[in-house]
Amino acid sequence: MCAMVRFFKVSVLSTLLVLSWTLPGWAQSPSSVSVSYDSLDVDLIVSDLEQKTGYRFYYNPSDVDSIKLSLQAQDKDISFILSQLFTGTELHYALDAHTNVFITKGREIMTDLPQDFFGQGQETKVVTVQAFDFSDYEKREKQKKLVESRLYKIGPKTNDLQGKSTLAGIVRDATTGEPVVGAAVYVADPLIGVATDQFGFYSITLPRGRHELRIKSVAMKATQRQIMLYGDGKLEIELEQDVTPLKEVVINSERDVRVTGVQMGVERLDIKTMKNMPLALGETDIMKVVLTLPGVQTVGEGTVGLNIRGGATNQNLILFNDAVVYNPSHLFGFFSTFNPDVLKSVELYKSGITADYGGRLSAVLDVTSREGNLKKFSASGGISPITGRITVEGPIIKDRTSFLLGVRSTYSNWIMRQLNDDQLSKSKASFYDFNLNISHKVNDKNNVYLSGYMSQDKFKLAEDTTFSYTDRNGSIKWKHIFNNKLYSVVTAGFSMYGSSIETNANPVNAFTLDFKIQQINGKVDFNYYLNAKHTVTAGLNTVRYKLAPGNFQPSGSASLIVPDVLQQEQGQESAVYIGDNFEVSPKLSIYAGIRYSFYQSLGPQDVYTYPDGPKEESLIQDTVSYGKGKAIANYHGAEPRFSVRYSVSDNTSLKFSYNRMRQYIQMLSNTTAITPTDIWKLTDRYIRPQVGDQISLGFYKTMRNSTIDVSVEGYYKMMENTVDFKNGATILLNHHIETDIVNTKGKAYGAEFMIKKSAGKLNGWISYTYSRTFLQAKSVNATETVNKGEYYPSSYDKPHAVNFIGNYKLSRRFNFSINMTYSTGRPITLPLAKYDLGGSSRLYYSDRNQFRIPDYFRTDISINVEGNHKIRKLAHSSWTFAVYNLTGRQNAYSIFFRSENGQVNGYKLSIFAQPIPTITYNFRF
Amino acid sequence: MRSFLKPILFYTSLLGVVGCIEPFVPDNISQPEGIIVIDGFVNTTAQTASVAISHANALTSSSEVERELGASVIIEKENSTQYTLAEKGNGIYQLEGINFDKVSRYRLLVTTSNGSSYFSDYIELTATPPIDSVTWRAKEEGIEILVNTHDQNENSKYFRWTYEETWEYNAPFFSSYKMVNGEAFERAQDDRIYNCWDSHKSTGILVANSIRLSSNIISDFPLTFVSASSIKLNNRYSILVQQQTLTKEAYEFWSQLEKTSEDLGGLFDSQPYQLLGNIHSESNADVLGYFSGGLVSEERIFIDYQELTYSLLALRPRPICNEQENIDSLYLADLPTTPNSVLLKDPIYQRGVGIIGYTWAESICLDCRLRGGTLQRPDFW
Repeated sequence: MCAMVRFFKVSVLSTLLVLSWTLPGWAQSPSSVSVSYDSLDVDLIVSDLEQKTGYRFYYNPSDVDSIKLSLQAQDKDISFILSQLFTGTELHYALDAHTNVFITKGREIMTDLPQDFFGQGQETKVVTVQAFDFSDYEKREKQKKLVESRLYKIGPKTNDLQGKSTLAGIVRDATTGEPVVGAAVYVADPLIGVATDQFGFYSITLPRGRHELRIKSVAMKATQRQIMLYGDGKLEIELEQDVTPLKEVVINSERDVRVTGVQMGVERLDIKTMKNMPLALGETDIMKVVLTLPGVQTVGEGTVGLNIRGGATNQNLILFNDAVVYNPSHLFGFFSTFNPDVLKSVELYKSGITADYGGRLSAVLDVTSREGNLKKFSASGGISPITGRITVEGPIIKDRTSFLLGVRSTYSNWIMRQLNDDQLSKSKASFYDFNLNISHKVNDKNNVYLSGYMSQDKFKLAEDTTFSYTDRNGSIKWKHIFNNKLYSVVTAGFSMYGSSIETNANPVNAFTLDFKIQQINGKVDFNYYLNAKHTVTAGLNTVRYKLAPGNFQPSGSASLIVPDVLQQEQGQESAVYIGDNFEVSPKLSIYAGIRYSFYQSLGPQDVYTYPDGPKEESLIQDTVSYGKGKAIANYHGAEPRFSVRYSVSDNTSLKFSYNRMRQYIQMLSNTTAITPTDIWKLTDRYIRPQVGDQISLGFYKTMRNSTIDVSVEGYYKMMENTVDFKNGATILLNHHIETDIVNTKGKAYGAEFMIKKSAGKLNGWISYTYSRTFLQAKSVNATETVNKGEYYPSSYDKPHAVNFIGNYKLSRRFNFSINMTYSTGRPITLPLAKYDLGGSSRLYYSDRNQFRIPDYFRTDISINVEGNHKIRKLAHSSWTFAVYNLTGRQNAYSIFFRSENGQVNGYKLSIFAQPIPTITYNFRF
Repeated sequence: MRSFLKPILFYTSLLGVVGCIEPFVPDNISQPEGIIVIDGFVNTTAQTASVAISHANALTSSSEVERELGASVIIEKENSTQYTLAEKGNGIYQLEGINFDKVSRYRLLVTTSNGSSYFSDYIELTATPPIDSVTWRAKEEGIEILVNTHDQNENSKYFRWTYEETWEYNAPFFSSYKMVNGEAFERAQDDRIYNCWDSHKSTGILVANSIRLSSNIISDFPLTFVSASSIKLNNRYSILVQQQTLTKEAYEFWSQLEKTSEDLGGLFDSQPYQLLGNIHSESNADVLGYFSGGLVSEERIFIDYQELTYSLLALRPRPICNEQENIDSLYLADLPTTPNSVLLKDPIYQRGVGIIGYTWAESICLDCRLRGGTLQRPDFW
């Protein structure tokens, strides 16, 4: 709507300009008028002046919206009146020979061309062209000052300033028109604040009256709005990008919210922050950035799985625009599947998970992509030693519909063919991923978002075995705003993950083995800003799973492989939830929520039955057949969520949270790292849902004018029915996986200390984490017992971890970053002795996970060089020089022992055993 | 799964660096006391049984494992006869000439000299089909030895192989004379040191199954790889492959033992674990090893180096000795002071005069035994 109007005005003006050029001379004799305006709308003034002077006014109503002007003048000409009126505003006027008045905002227009416009040189008098020299930047600056000092009146004017009213709106990026997520919108006195949600939407309830509303966000310039709140109303806010964040490199938008918000254990990282960090393989990788946060660990570099507060890798809910991502890695985990150019932000919930999230035990990693530039077309991309990527975005309908398309791929196959190595030139390793987002503003109350993602990995080693896996997901979201206080989001989505192994080395044994999981989900979420004290969220969702755990087929006509297709698994997981954010007093806020989840394992399926006692293949008693849609097993349970914040003082607070989570799907893997062949398994008759409880307690303080945050968080976590394996378990193509699984109990506890300096030339954080995590497999049946039923450390139990991230802005163009990481080595099972058997030395292993690999330490640095800072140039580019593992320490990825030619040898494997320098070129235009 | 390492090497080498594997010796691993290892096998074909008893050794120890001497070792037919094995020394106990009953089950009973008792589960003796063929094929850098078999009787779909390689090789030069107390004598036929034979038994665990196939066929299972530059292909190579079928339990034991001791080191390997077999202790202590048995079929093939492809022949190593560098002359006048250890190659003739001296070279150039083998021609050669 808005775009159309503007376009129309502009074309009218240019037509007039052309006409005016044909008619020389100024209108020099305006009649004098007297006026008396007291804070009148421009519309009223204009109609008064049109009446009195006979001039016709042309202007864009939105330029003068809510501008009130005052003037007393007697017998003055129109030019005097207009110039007096517009003094101190951004409005300009121009008169032409036809008694037309053009009011413009930001820059003047000429109603006549400069007299020497065509260079004939007859006239020396030149109309000043200074008015043209406003760069966009200066204009925006001026505009910004204007909006910051202007008083916005919200609601119908009234004298009754008792009670409270709600102000709502969307915070957008002024350059791209995209909503800003997680921006803090608050007033300082009394301290009342909210953060914008994933749509950039905020709703804040304030006492009626005059306020200064402050808005802050990561990598955006802080701003404020003067408001006079008479009643409920809307206020749209645009934030300027902090082009080169020199003074205000904001690592955490939660600078104020961290202390004042109810939430704890939540980290939000913005893509700009992530891009400043040193990179391993020439590309910003959010999974590796998340790894630098306290409480997040991994079993080894080059693997993508995250272990968050003692949880297994499959206990994290990884969402990409609300769709579940099953395998977030490319190429064995060297890259994450998230293309850095399309990302907006990532939020990690380690504790205090609100009731709207569910389905995984440990943590939520919510990744959102940008929606695309609403105002103009732009492209960005990068070239690193291994990958190339490009992202294109722009408006389909200006200010209403935008798209974002990102593609990333390797050119490693090409490189590999150039290599003069027989083995490697026959190998192939490639991946690509593809993102498409479309967002459309139907009207002020309705928005629709479409998001699609597709990725594929394929690698073939010289051995004639091809591994491949594909991740696809898509979601459509409809956001409907009922009123200032209530909005709803309806989401429908699907996710599909499949992996495949194919080998053709020997035609007789040639086979393909496929795994596939699909889910279709739908949900409705409501957000209700009840009043200043209560924000209620509620909703329901359901997920239908369909899982093909194994499809083993011969490949080629010579193959004698007998097809083996494991039964499909079906399940339906549903949940309802309600939560309330209750601000009891400025000092005390509470979030209380409850989620109730239901799960049904559904037929058609044949289920083996076992007598009481150990489940062994030899003990299978009978087979029970369930028809299509028949419930095989039902599970349900409540998941209470609770957080409380108590502010000891303005800059110190204490928080406590408790949450229970239930998980109905698990990954089956008996390897330490996530592998491409790992499969997932639904909860069924024998595999019970995992249940986890976590309590955590935190202390937060900001110092030095909110530039330094100190936090301490401690947690204790209990997990039930997590899955571990019997020694020597078969996972692939196992028709009775329950006989190879042991149910374990887990416990994890720890403390995270963090000091963060989020502003200034030098910024960054240092954190220390103490964390332990143990599992226990105890059963009356010896075969279902691990380590004699004692608690044993899980493979990701790393008690001590220290992370240091530092950024130093040398100048506007040079940024230096350093990342240092230390952690205790992970537990492993080592041989205790060797013995002779079968003609060779063999190994006698310890109980599970009784030893550790050597401690891990790594330092990375990077230097980012921005191109010059001309605001208006075609392309912006930057170079990143980085060195990964600067000290070249040979960190152990694993320790293993092998019988070779009858002898036992011990080895240490390091993946990045030397410093790895990379150069990346990034561009944007 | 070791192949998973390759992409890493690829990616890291692309970046100009290489992932690194280096030897590692753990410290402070305390070895558990006196774990016994019992390795028993009944060969129904040969009507023999052999049991080796030893003790586990410290991980870093370089000494031989300690053998269990003076134990009482008995094989018991279920509810029937007991056969006592004779101690052959070095911890080996054997039984010969027993016609094992293929339908009965047997178990192993061991009592060590210190009075500890051990017993195995009852085992079934498996029937093994003959080996269809042992073949070889040229690869890029050597040859791969493959085995093929099938069993229509469907007795068992689990197979294990062991092999013994034997190869004949030559010294670089033929020594036709030798020194005896200051004089040169022509070597007799049985005194030649030119042809040697060496052999090597398999150390790895070679198991395979056909459970996923529509017929019980093992096709081209790779047993070993012989590098074209190896001395094994210097002249003539032979391999004797022994095949036995396994019960499902025995197969699982051996394949897991392989996984936990030979197939580690990749990025995505499963974690190793303690693996115990089918032998138990009266006192509930851990017992390592396995007891199994059945028919054993075997097949031997020979490969002459001339059968190799040209591209492989091109990979044969340069001789370790050559005429220009390694051959020297010894004149008759020098002979009296030449010790017996000097090996002579050929006589040097001068026209009209006769022998005026001998050529000689370092022993490695003339005596094949210095490269590991013996002069004993095997019976089957």
